[in-house]
Amino acid sequence: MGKVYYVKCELCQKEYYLDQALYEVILSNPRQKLICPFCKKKFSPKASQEGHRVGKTV
Amino acid sequence: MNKDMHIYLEHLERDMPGNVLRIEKEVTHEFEIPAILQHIESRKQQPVIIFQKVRNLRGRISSLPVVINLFGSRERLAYALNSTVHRLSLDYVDKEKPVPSVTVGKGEARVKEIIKKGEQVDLFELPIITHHEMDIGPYITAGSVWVKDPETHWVNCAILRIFVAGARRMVVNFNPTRHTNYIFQKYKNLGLPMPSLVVIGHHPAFYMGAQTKLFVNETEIIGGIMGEALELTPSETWGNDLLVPAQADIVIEAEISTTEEDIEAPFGEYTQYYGGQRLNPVVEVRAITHKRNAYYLDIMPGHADHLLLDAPMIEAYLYSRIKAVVPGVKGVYMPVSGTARLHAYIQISKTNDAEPKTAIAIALSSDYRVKHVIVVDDDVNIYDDEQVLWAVATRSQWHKDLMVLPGMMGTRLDPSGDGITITKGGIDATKPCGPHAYAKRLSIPSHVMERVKLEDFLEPEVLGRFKDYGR
Repeated sequence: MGKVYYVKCELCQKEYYLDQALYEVILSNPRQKLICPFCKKKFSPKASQEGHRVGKTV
Repeated sequence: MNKDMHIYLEHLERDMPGNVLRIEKEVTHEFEIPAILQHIESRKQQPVIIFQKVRNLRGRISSLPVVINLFGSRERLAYALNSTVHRLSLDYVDKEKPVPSVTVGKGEARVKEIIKKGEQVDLFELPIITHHEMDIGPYITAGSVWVKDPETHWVNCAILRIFVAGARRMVVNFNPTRHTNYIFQKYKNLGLPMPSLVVIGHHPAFYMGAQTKLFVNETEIIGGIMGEALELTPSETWGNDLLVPAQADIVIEAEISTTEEDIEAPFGEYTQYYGGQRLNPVVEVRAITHKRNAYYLDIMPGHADHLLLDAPMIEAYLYSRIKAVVPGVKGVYMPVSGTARLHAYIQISKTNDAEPKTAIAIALSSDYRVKHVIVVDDDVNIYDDEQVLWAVATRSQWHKDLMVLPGMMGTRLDPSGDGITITKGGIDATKPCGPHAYAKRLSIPSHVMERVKLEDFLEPEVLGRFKDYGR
């Protein structure tokens, strides 16, 4: 797993994380949607690095 | 007819009463069953629990009760193999021999009592559970996924986590290092989807056989571990090209796409962390068949139910590999304290000082998950964490007894790794071979230990309350 990449759901504002491979996919493909594990809805994450808090799982 | 989960539970209630708990009160599919199990575990109890009334994702009471924590006790795993806690992996090695399967007709296959195909299939009718707070949704966790190698025609079995994304749609996760992926790549190269079965619910010996680490036709090893030829019957989707276990509780027939992926995870894993969200292969369900009185089996992720099932098989595999080079190996144990995968304790009767590090190297390279190994002498009980750590404390000097191996293949679920490689290591916690004498362990004269009986010194009511006396 190594480094994980936190994202915030645009709909419910809760945070969870992606593994590195998926993070790289959304950086290169802005149309890739994610599924929030809390509200269960699909959302489009911000494609820029500023939208994500990068770091290891705590 | 093969023994199955129902026979196992019936015998368990007869021979080990108190190991099966039945709950009649209604529960929902989301979090409640895991919460009840966790409360029971906090009281240091590990019964099998059968939930008779579970509300499914359609909001209806499922026709199938849920069984959970079937594998939550090493005693019960040993009971399934007619073995003991300490001999379990050794007996597994002895039984891990191929026994050809037999094919039976539909009339003898209880898994065919109810058949649903195509539009009739609705996964949400099953009482599939959502376990942990940040899980993306309901997961099948006790599914033994069967796939057939298109070249050798061997069947590979693996318990894989499967996200239920729709009425007939799932997303499956498998590690790139697994045999399942090796076979998946063959179908990908052929440009074909991979036919698969998800087998839910059978005798624990079936599951232990299906978890063999040998790369062979695993249906035959299942027969060896069960002590009887495994009965198979043609599937609804592929007929004789892919046979299903005839006495399983539930079989889902599905195709794993080699071209389409979808979102899967987070999911709470055996490391007791959540794995990050990722893209994984989509699975389209073609048919579901089950017994009329089927139980829906669930494995509680990250708990003893999950950790203990694989341990004897890893122990058996490591034991065989080490024995070929270090004949004095006495036992291998994967402790729950190390997630029953990441740590291995090896007990040896040493004849030279090179044997411990040789055993460490073999163990670390034999299973990608094994990360730390401790080797101890045969006077140390490897089933007791305190004893093993005492050996590390008093029989190792790390400038010479520590092995560190960076850049090795590990599990990507280890949050301390880089996702591809991890650093593995081992400690030689054995006494040096002669000629130098080593300090002597404490002991009380054995004739006194045998003569002194607690019953002669303590009242019966005090002895009965012993569990209330703390350390």
